Amino acid sequence: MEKKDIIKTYLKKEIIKDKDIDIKNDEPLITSGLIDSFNLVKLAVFLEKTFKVKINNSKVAVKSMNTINDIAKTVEESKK
Amino acid sequence: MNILLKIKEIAEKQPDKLFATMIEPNQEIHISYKDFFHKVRVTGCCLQQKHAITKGDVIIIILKPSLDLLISFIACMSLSAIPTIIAFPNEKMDMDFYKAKINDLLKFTKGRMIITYPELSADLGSLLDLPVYLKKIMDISEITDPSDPEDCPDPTGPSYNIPPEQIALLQHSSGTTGYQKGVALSHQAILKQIQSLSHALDLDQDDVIVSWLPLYHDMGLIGCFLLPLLTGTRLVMMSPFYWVNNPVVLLQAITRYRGTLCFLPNFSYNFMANPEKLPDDLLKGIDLESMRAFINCSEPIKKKSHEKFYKRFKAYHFKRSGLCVSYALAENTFAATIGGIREKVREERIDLGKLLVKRKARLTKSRTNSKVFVSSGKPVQDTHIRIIRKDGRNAPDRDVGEITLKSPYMLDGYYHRPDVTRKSFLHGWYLTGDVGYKVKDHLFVIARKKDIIIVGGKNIYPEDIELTISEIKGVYPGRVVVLGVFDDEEGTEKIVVIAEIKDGADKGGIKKRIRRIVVQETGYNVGDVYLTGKKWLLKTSSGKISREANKRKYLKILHKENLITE
Repeated sequence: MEKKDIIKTYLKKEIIKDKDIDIKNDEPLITSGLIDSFNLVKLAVFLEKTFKVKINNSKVAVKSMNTINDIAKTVEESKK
Repeated sequence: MNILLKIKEIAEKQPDKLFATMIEPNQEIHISYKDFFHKVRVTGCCLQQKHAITKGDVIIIILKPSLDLLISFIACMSLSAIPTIIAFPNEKMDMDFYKAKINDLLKFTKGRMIITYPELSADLGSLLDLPVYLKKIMDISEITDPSDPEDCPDPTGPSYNIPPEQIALLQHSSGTTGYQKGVALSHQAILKQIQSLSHALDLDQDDVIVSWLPLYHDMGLIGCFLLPLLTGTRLVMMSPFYWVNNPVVLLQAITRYRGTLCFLPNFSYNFMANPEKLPDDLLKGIDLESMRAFINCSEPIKKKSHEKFYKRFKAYHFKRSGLCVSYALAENTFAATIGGIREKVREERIDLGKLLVKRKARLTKSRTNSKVFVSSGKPVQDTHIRIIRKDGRNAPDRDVGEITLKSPYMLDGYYHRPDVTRKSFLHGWYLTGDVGYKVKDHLFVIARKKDIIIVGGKNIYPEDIELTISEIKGVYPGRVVVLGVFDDEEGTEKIVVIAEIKDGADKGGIKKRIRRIVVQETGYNVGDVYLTGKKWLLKTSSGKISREANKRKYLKILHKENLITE
């Protein structure tokens, strides 16, 4: 499965927990109220475990995690 | 002075003046002051002759809006009995639920008699077997039968010698526990409120009050029945059922009878401004030029509703100055404040952040994270309003707190409920349970105290969120409730939205919109969005969506679902 799909599946299943809601890769997640910023830490832990990366604390923020694209990009940059 | 003597005085002074016109689907019934008073006498006489009524008996009247209702109500009062009007059940109501509520009412008021129609007597008959005070269920036709009216002696003697401090009526406020809390009002309290109200409205002999309101609440009973009756003002009325199915009838009545005053709850502004409910082609010939005031009352007042109404009806000669406001409650007999009659209604844009967190209403020019609040006007004569903080001390201007009031026409206590009464007063001031703030004399009402959701120490007022969600395509307007449900895990309340949506509506899309609205308006994420089909949400007796009952229903379902998945 592609990275973005893994992230999407996790968000839908573990955080949004609502089968009626589908999300697009460029859709805002936090500013739209889909996920709570409190969940960013939980999300970061998942990303680190799944993709074997270390996400810098400064990246656990709305501006680097507001869409699936942003999150994938943050993961990519954390690998470096 | 008492209410009966006042009516008698007016009937003698202007016997032929029309008191009321009842507009029905196929006819209009007119009644003069003289005839009205005469019918009150005859009905009182029949009541007295056929059924021994003793002073202080509580009589429950369950009739559809009609002249019979108005006449029997005053007739009971003329015998020193205490009438109270209760909503006639509509066909959607569950009879067992309705009966349980009437049973509550009988228990708390010690009601002796019910006056209704034969079709309801049969349903309510079993209440007679219960160990309460009810002695009889009477058919209305038994007492309005005009046989030998002239032989009828004046029931309490020609002087209607009722002391002014005697209880004249009971009214019940809306809400789920409304029937358990009767507000007893004396003759003098009502007459004084009518005096203050007439003064605040600049009422004069040329005024015509037009109303579709039910009489089982203060706005209909005091504002649109006793106010005209006790001031010799003309009343044009119709039943709420008729209006809701044909909202244009209200506007036609205003046009035809040159109406000047009309009390409306906030939702009716949106309702009548909506071309889907009231199509344009029906408005032909409507002329609102005569209207001095549409008075927004009994629900929090929304600027958007006023704007929609004005925008639609200015073409029909409705003037912006006619957008008036009031804050009223059964516990103050009726009106506590009125605004817009002599001066423009005050509106102000408030910083939501400061309002929600610091509970201070600070002005702002910024359009983001702010909201326009509409004042409910200034106190009417003899009503004093104070905002108090949590510790019971006076709050300064612009600090948000509970609205408390004092007046010569406020309730002495809830009828036979010393327990509830004790909790409702603080040093002689009545605690309204509403939250708001004051700026000089202007009162701004924000929400019911019990409806406020507290998330992480921040106050969330559900009304505004409900209104915004109501505008989403696919959601039935007004069929939305926003609740606070305590979340053990988080240790605070979470916001739950329940909304009725149309068949085939895009569920995912609606949920996303709701989540966005909640986070934008409150800064918090929604805990759960629960979408349902039509008619899921429960209403109170006054037809408002009940937060309390729907919260219970929601929690019950949630509990069941959890049990199944476990």
